[in-house]
Amino acid sequence: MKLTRRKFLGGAAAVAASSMTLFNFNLLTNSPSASAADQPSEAIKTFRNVCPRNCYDTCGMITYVEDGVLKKVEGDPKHGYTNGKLCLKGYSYPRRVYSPDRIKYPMKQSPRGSGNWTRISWDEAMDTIAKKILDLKKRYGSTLPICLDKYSGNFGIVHYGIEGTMSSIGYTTRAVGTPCWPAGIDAQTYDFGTLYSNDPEDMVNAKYIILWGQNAAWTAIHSLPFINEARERGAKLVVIDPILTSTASKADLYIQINPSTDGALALGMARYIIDNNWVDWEYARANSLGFDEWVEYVKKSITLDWASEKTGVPKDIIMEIAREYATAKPASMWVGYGMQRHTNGGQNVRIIDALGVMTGNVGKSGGGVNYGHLETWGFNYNAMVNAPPKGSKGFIGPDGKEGDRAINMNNFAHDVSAQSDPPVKMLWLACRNPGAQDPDTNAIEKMFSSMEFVVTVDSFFNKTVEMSDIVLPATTHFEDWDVMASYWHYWVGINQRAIDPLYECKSDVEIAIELSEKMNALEPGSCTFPTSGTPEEWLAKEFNPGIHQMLGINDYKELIDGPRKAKMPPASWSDGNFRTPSKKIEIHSELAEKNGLPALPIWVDEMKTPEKYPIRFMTPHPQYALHSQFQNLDWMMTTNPEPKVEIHPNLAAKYGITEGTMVKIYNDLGSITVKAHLTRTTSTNVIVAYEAWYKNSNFNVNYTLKAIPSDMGKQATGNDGLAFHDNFVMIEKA
Amino acid sequence: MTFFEDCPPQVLKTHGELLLALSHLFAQGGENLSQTLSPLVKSCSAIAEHYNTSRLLQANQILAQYSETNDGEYLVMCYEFNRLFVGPNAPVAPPYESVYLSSDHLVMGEQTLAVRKFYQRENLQTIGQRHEPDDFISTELEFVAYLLSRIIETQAAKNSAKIQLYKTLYQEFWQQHLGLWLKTFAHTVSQSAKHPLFSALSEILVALSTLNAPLNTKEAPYETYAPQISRRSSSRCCL
Repeated sequence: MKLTRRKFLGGAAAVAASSMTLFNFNLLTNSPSASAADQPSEAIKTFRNVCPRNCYDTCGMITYVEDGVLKKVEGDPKHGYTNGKLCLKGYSYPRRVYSPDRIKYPMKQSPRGSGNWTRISWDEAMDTIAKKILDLKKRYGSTLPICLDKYSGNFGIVHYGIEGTMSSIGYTTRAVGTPCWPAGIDAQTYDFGTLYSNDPEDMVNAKYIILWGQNAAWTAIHSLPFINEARERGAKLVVIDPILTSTASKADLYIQINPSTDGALALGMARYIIDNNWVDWEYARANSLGFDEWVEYVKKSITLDWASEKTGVPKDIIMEIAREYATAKPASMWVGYGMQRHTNGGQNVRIIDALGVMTGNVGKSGGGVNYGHLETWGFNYNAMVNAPPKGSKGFIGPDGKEGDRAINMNNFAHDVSAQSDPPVKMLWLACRNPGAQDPDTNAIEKMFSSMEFVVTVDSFFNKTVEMSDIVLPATTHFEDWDVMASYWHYWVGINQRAIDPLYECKSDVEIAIELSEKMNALEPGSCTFPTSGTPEEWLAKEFNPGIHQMLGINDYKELIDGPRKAKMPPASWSDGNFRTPSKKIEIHSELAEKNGLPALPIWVDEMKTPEKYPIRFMTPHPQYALHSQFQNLDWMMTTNPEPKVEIHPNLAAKYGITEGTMVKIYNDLGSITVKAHLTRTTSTNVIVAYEAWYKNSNFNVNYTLKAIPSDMGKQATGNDGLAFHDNFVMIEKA
Repeated sequence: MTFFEDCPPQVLKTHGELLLALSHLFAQGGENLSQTLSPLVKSCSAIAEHYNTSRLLQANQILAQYSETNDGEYLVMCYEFNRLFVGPNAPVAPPYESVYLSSDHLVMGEQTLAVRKFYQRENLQTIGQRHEPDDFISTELEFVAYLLSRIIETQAAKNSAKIQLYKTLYQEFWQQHLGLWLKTFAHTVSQSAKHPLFSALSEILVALSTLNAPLNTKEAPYETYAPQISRRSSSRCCL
């Protein structure tokens, strides 16, 4: 709102001089049209948008706008994967954009954590931030005391301008890694050279489908029509999961597996496939290295009895799915991300990969060991790439090169606190809510309180904002230009600015521009981020001939007519050109061995249950939210007003817990108290609560979660993943 | 009862000043209470004395007390203002009509567009159109203050057609907009206020609403932000 006091001749002045008023307007002004009130409403305009959340589906959306107001959103019928429908989160978007809870203006908190907020102008915000950056640079001789933590709140390509903001001020400290899927990425990197899944629309061609730790009904609903079509054609759907999920409830066969033993099940299946000679020897031997060595291991070390004992899956079921999977031709496997969030998670994925190879299902339409891909992400990352200012001092890495200082995103609190030369003094958080999503929330709180200065860019008042000095209001994707690719389907879509940014919200690139202007005004040459260009011009700079060719377009504007599907074969690896050092599937991976891992996809024991904390506490993705996004909205709070912990009735009885009892869940790290829901969807030694950020609630599963690394992730993502599901606790009535 | 009949220009002017003082207070935010409180106290005193309403007088005394407070107290009041109306937390009493009256309880609802149309009837639009909801409390208050100023001007000019036009506009706007949500908003504030200033402010909003309420005004039911309160029929404005 503009508060500058301006004196206008009122609107009536346009009608007749005798009607002039000398009323002093502050918030109203002349309407450009003399008869505006008689004009009909603007015709409804439609825009193309893409949901930018960290989600398999990355849906194409049609946004309906009337009189500058977003009226509704629908799935884009031209998007072959979204196919005209959204999920419940997608349909709730107008409620996110127009929620009265949105952060509207730059605000400053004094002191941090007090709840004492004052509204400040963008100029004051930028001045405060710029002066702090320059002060730290002067005191420490570099910008390394400034640490960026950005991840998946918005996966739009232009949003990599957040990293560009940091690059443009000098070398900084960066939270590196991904909490979501790195162990599985490394597993497929060792095996195939990278992660590269079949087109999910190709699942219609599968004759047998195994969803391995994958709850598509909650986290990728647009894949279900393709799975259902395959089933209509006769395919069988098997779901393997420690929890009887919504997806599992739809399956032809649900297998409740002991957590973290998926590799044992795959090895048991492999043994039975070998014993019955259902192996596709020709494919495996022609396309892989070390296959026979692995077969020998399986024959020597694996028995069905062992696999059954380890996994809790009856032997006859292991034999049934082994036979069916090996003989269906083609058979598809979808490896979910929850499955690899264990200390042996990456290794389990490697074993499942080997199962796909041994049955000849890799490189086949209707087959694949499908995990995800990054094939369609070859943009310029123009907003991300900025040279440091002249004279910038960086961190000298192990390779002797000067650059940013990388710390582990998955042990953020510890790694920030551990830096001493120089220490981290300032945090910049964008597209990220470590207060709710990082492990060991107590450590996060402590680390935040040790900072000199914290800046957060966000749309809602979450735990991280609560711990900040300054919060800057972020635009939603309807108020910004961007382009979005998916890590699951093969479509790429443009995101148009459908409505003007509300209040004083700005995009990350606009914020970078403002910061650059301020820093250079204070100290010329201190920031290299360009200060010109409209949001659409910034978008245009992300495209290149490779992307044009892949999408069959000559100009990004063609995407306004509809999203485009990358011109790629439906089956990944169908050309047999694997990207490993040997150019073959590496069942025997020297790279894995070099990294201290088994060369072969052999069994690695799961984490042992500690005696003191005998109950596994699993905290998977929620139905009504995506991490800490969406659950705070009114629809979600109405439908799912409070968190609950799911407990098997037998386990509950042991602790005197009944339906609705408040339960304290605790371990050495911390505790949470949450209402019990008794259900047989989980097993007797596993309790389940879904990670989410509820409005006006301090519920956070991560108070009990240690930053235990998963076994893989370093090779491709810089840091190992997190063993989110190897969290052990005790429970009692609260 | 016909609206505005027999109301002396000076009383109308005082009303307008109160409306504008409230508009400024909400528009300029918690950070500027030291500038916006005194004009509010002044205009409120005049209204309270004219109608001799004890609740308004009492509320205004509290306002007067805090309008002369120290910087530290102003800061406390600023924090409370932002907690109630601005954020960055989910504000307790968002100052936008459609949050209270639309079935969706969101901003930029049908009321926002209806208010926009109302402004357009006078060839006006909000300075922050499409960025700030048109039904922001300050803008609505400024608009009715403007209409009141037009009534005074046209009365002075003895332009009976225009007098009636602006009286009708004023009445319609109260009946269709401000009058439907102001008390609900005020009640939400009073339910949650942690500082006496805002309880007093709530009283003033209720009084303003009551003074302006024509007989046939119906208050909207509200579910989200506060329980229903009954409308007082006493202390009616002479307007």
